[in-house]
Amino acid sequence: MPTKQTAARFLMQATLGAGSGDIERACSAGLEGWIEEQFQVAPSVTHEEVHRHRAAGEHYEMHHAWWRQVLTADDLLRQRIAVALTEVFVVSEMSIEFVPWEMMKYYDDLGRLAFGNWRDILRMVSLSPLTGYYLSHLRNRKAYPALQRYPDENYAREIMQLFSIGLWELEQDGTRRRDAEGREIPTYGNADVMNFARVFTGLAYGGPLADTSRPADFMDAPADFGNPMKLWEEEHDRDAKRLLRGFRTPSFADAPGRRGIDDIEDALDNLFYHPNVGPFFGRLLIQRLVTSNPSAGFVGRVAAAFENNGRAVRGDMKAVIKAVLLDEEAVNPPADRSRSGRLHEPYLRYVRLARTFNARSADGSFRVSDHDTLESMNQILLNAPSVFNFFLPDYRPPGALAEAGLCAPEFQIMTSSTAVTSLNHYARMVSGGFGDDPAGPGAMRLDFSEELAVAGDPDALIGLLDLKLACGALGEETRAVLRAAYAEMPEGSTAEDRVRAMVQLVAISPDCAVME
Amino acid sequence: MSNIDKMEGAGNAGEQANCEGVGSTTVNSLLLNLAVAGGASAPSPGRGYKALVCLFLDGGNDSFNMLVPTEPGEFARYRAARGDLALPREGLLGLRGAAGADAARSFGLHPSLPRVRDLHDQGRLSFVCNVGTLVEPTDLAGLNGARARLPLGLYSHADQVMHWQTSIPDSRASVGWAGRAAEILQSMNRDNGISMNVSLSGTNVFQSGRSLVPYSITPDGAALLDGYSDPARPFFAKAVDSLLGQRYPNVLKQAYAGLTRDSIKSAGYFLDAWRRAPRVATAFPGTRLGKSLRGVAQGIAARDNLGARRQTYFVKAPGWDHHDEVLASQAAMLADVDASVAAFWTAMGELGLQDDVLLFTASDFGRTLSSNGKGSDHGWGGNQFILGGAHRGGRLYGSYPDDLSLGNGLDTGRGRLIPTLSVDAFFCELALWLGVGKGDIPAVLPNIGRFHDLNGAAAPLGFLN
Repeated sequence: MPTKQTAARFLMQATLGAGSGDIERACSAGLEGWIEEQFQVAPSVTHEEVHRHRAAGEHYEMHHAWWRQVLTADDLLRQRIAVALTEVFVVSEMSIEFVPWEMMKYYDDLGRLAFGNWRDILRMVSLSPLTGYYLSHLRNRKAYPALQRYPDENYAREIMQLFSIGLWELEQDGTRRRDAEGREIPTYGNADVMNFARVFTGLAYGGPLADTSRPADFMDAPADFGNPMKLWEEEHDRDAKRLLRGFRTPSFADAPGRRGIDDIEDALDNLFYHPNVGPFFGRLLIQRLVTSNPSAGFVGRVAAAFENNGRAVRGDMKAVIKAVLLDEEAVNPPADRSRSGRLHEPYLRYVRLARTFNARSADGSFRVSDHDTLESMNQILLNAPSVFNFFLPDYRPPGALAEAGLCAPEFQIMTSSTAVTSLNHYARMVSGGFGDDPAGPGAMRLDFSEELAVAGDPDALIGLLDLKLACGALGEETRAVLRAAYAEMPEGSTAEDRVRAMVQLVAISPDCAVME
Repeated sequence: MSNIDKMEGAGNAGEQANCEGVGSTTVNSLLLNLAVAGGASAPSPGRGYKALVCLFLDGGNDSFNMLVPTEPGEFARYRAARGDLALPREGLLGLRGAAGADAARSFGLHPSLPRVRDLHDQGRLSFVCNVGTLVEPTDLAGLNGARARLPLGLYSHADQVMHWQTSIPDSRASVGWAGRAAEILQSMNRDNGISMNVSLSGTNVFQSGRSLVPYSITPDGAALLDGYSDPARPFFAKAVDSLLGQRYPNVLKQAYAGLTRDSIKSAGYFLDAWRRAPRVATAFPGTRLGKSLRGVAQGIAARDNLGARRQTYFVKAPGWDHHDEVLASQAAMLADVDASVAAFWTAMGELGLQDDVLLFTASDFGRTLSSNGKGSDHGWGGNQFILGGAHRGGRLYGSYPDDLSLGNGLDTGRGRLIPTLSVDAFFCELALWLGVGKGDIPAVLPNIGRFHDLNGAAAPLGFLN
């Protein structure tokens, strides 16, 4: 049975936030047992709720449904993976028409597929009209050389660079391969991009009204962001295409009965079976859940799980997730902690507080729109500034981190202003109501009943917050500072005053902001 | 100007490379590096003060309804192209006539812009016409023949916002041209950890350098840490200082602690400078934009306390993506711009700085001239304005298309117009005014050579006095 600290550290990686009950559950089930339990929980759904309320003419934002899910649904692991996947397979509300329930459908699809096969995620993403709109392969037409018009290359490039294989050929442990002269080897060139661009032609808005037998519907079918794109054969390039690593698709003239979707499936397979996917995707998932700078061994173990789940299946997300969360580097902090860990994402620090302290409103609603978190934290779900996400996986902050050769992606959105405004955001939710109705019946409030029960005992209070907010990682010096602060609180401070101040201080502390 | 030019001569690519190599997480040490590498000395009083204010109309202002041709033939073509989006001619606010080649033409402003019209007619404000992001000079034949190199993600918000701010539309980058300019000019300001690039709208590409981030403030000044200065809770600040002042063996914790501590301290410094400055008395609208521009004015009022000789300010006004409701919504939003910008101008008069501050608008793109039945969709070239006593106002710069008919020689479809002026040329003149030397312009605007001959006698647009 894992210790409470081990369980808390594990849940810090495997959930969006864990209360005492969650920690106890992971202790009794064991870490792997907890994961297996979570694999069995049915996916919660958010988009239908947004659709229903909006169809009834109510003001209802996609974040309202998301917050209800985070604070009430039981599929904790699935939600955590879905959020991580939104930061790999990025679409952003910032650049897409206002289609709230359809955005949540995309999010729900990521959650639904989170314990399936990676190949199905790539397929869903490639045929999503949101991706199609965002990365412009929606209504991408075959070449008309007479007009010197060629297919859009945007998705062809991004699916390779960001969604599957990355720019450089990798060893299975994630280090870059080198040729005989010691040079790094690009995974693809511009000719490959042009070939893949021809693969992703003929797709346009799907939905019940789009009829692929009507040529005009390719351009004229109504915008539909809630159904996968459909393929119009006459707009799809029918010539042979050269894929990566020597593979080709046949010319349609040589392959009777071949259809456009067959080209897309072949291209997705071509990427899926590329040896880079395991180490490339594995590192991204490790970075989101565990540490910014995983060892080559860690990446290699996750890549091996991607390659083969033990039953000769490639791309099994369950095996990949287990490999990430149950790795020795994830479960136990390393012996040398000077370079390990990651800065928690600012938005997820906020979400973690809400979930750890079981936020609720008096009227039972979950009206949190998060319109202000973009400004105060530079982050909000499904609103990255570009397909490159909020931050780059290889971002090295200038200074000590760069000199140490360390990546620290989350520092890219920590500015002189958000360094303070994010802390104020956390502090305000601790000291009062938050959400769209912070002073009314819809105000979301944190529940400190466990803390209030021990508010008179500083060591017990600090110990409880240490476990819940820092998985037992508060250093001796930090705890001494907290004890001194507690002792110096003004006479007449209420139990609530003491608890709130202590939560605020722990939330600010580097031991809480960074998981080693 | 000669002093500045001399200093900027040292601010070349080598210096910046050095900066990048030894940069640190704090602006402070960046400034030290700049000062050492560039040999810059403390600012001398003779250098004066200049601020460039970017008002970004986020979402894509339908600017062919902001500035409308009123010569009867041109107006008829405008009305035909715009259909149900055309403004009635009688409601337009006529601009004082242009001199010279354009004397036969006439223009009117959206009825929500009476103060902007007055500023134009008083010679304080000008329009920059059909300006947009370009990789190279582009025409319809090149575009239809797929020969032209085009901005990445043309017609897309994220990309066009990025390109307007980087001025490098052939790549996707996160370093803006004001960020690059600051790497050259920052050393004119006191070395106090406050960037010369100040944002009222948080992080933005425009003001981000390679290792320099904009200093973000709110309309009330810098954000202080809640409770940090509360006299009833001295334990709180003491504990925060201790938590952030410890030495952490883990480098990520140390970096987080250092950045947070520096940010809390600079906020205190900034706010002190802000509060000691003369209080701007001019009344501003109570809108978000009005408050933000009041914040800019108050920040400018604090310039001497901050030791700032050069600043840029960034204000983003959201909500201009009028796929629907363009007529009603844009009318209200332009009225807000009109009142807020006019108040800002009055405030600059109050501070005696009308000749030292230039405000310019920018926006993702212009919009389709044709209607989608409710509004307009994403376009390309659009119209902007500049305001300030340092420029020759009351004019139209660039070239306003004389034929807005659908299918005109610039129309890529539905009245998305190919820009006839690149943002590079527009920004080049602004950067020169701010004090970037000619020799440093290519470091700030790498594509400028495709649009303007820096060695020639002519200015890119010629709006500077």
